[in-house]
Amino acid sequence: MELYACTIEEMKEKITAAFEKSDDFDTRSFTTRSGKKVFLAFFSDITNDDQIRDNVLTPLMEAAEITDLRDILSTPGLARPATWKELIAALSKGDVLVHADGQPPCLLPLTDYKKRPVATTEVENHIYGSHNGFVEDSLTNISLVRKLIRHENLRLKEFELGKGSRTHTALLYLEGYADPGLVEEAERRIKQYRKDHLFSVGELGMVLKDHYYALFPQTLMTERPDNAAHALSQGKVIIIADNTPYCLVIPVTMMDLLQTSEENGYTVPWNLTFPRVIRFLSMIVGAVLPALYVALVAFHPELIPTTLTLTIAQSRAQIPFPAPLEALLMMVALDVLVEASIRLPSFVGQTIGIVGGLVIGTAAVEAGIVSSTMIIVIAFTAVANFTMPNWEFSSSWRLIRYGLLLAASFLGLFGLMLALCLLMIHLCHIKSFHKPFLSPLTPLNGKELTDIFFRTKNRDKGEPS
Amino acid sequence: MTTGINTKGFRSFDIFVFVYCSTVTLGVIFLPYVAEEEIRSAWLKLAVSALPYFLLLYLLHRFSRHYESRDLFKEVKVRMWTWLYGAILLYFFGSVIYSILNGLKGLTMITAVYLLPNTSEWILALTFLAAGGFAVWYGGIETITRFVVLLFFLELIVLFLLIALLFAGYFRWIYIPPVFGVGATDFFKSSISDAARYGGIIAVLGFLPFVRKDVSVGPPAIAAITFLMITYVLVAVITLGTFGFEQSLVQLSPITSLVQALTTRMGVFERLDLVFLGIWVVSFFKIYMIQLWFVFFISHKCTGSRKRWPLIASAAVIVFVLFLLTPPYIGQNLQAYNINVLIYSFVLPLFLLVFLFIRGKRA
Repeated sequence: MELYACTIEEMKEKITAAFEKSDDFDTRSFTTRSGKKVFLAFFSDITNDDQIRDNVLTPLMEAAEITDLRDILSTPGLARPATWKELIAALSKGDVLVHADGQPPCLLPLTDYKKRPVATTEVENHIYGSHNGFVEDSLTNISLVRKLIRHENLRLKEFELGKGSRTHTALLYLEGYADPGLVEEAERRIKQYRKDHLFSVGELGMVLKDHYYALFPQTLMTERPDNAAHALSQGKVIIIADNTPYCLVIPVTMMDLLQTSEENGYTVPWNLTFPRVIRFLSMIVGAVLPALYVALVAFHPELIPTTLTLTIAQSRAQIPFPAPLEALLMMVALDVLVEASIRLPSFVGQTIGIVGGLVIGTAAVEAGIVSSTMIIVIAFTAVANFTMPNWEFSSSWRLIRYGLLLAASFLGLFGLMLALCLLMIHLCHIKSFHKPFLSPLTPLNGKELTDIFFRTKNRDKGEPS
Repeated sequence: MTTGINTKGFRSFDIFVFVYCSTVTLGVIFLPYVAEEEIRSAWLKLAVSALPYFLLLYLLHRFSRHYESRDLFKEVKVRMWTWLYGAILLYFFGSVIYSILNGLKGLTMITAVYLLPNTSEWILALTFLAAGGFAVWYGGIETITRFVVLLFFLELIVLFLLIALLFAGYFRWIYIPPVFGVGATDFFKSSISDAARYGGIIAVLGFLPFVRKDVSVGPPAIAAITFLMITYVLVAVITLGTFGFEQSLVQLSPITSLVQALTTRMGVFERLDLVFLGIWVVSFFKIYMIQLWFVFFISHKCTGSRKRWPLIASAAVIVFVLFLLTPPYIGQNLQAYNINVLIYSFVLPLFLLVFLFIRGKRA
């Protein structure tokens, strides 16, 4: 049936048949003052009644004559669907169908999804940075970014991903900063999304990755618009998807995962250097410390200063387990605690923290199950690991810790070194959108590396250093 | 700052690091033990024995300017009799395997002596071969080069540590002036073992085709070999200056013994030698990867197969079997090994390059 040629009755029949199993689907038929028959169709729970009344019913009823709907309905974004498929899709999305007899049907975007207002960030805590966080509405998120970068070169490409969810997705980049090849590549990969639904931008991130089974994230998820804007200013591309209070930043390197944009706002340049160095060291300590402890205690006690060796030996004297098993037990206990405290409401989470700290800490030592030095090692490992500003990155190191521990348990320092070599090979191998993950460490780019850890006076003045 | 999609090919710094790192490890750890005949002028021999490799790198530089592919084997293949080309490839294959085997023997021995005395050497060898083989299969030359660049800083730290030893209280300058108690023949003969320390440089033949076409090969490669020579000379000077001639001869790894002397009376680690050995394991892993990748490169030239894992696994298995069948490091005929290293890393490439230049001129 030709869409533009169908009568009110035919339209009503077709539309009702398409949505007959949806109880929240509403249709209205009425005759205007000018005697024209009009048919309206919409989903009542995702459209705004007031807007329908003000933007559709009132103008239509008050019009003396209806020759063209576009002259009467002034709603921005009014569109005429070309096909039935397009019409059905728009209705499912929340548009309102207005069909006046003898005229082509019109679609009005009067969607009114319930959304929460812009709120403070919940995961990425900070000291001085902006308190605005992304919300679940993609348009709001885009506006938050546009508020930070008001330049005409901030470009946006839109996509509708997922045959079922039809999620609005936007790719943003700053022309002149972002590599055109990168933008093209990102666009190409986004278009390769074939799943029926897209409920989270992370699902898209899985498709965008260069290496699917890699241990480390190749995209950065941030809930902070200032982080996103900072990434744009560095020539990166961000992807915003509806229903996700996060955006994806690509490409990403290990160094990107160790810094926050807030640090660029510090007035003392050394305050940028110090936390980044600390984080870098914490990353290494958080991954290696338990394995190194096991290698030293179980295989090479001669490496440790004599007094410390005696202290450790004393604390381990009554422990029934070998050092590797002791470390494994504690690491599992730590991860169980972390998982439990994440999933529980905050008030119970605190209780878990206290109970866990007491039971796993003091009681386990007093019962002679683990040594006090092991508690110190694991506690320090946990604290070091939590310095990572990115949760996914931090989780990757949690996994790696087990691998290193296993290697050290079997072959001591030799095994640990081999495992570290394999880890470094993996890190050297990963790329994010063709950009090496370890860049600018390797391939070496001295200027970029310096920029990460030091802020020069010229750079702050906006001059080349 | 813009985020560029990575451009293909290696840069000058990569060449520098690759040449340096493909050679440095084993040469340092046993210095000057392998120079069995005469070590009183070890540091001078190390400097002298680098000279032929300067010539080789200069010729490689000329070659890379004349031949766009920068692939020595490819260019030789089209200009040489097939049987001779095949024989040369097989010789390269066998020699690199021999070199890996020798290095592995050294590694397992040092590890068993200093780090894991209760673990069988074959377990260490198997673990090492498996891990390295996996890394080469997984990574390829691009990843290996990035890894090497990353480790270069580690090598520098070790180097600075060694320089610090010059100022240790044990050092005696009296041992340093070269002693020419032997004739020129003996001097040059004993230089063979020192020249063998530069043998790792051969892997650069496989690396060159992957270098960016606009990058000049000569300057970074020659800078690397100079830096390498300085490192070796420094190590030889430090060990000789600290232990003297006689003691240096009987030390398995004088440099390790030297680091053993660096006890920290306070701090996290009491003995630095094991830390040094740990770093050295990583360093050896790097050189093993480079050599194994070069074996793969040669195998690919021989068979035409691009499948990485069967070629790498075969090479690793051959090395392991030979490891089990041959005597330990100390029991080996190192003189024969050193001569072979000199032939496959210097004489044969030199012959191939001269051959190419002559054929090129005739053409």
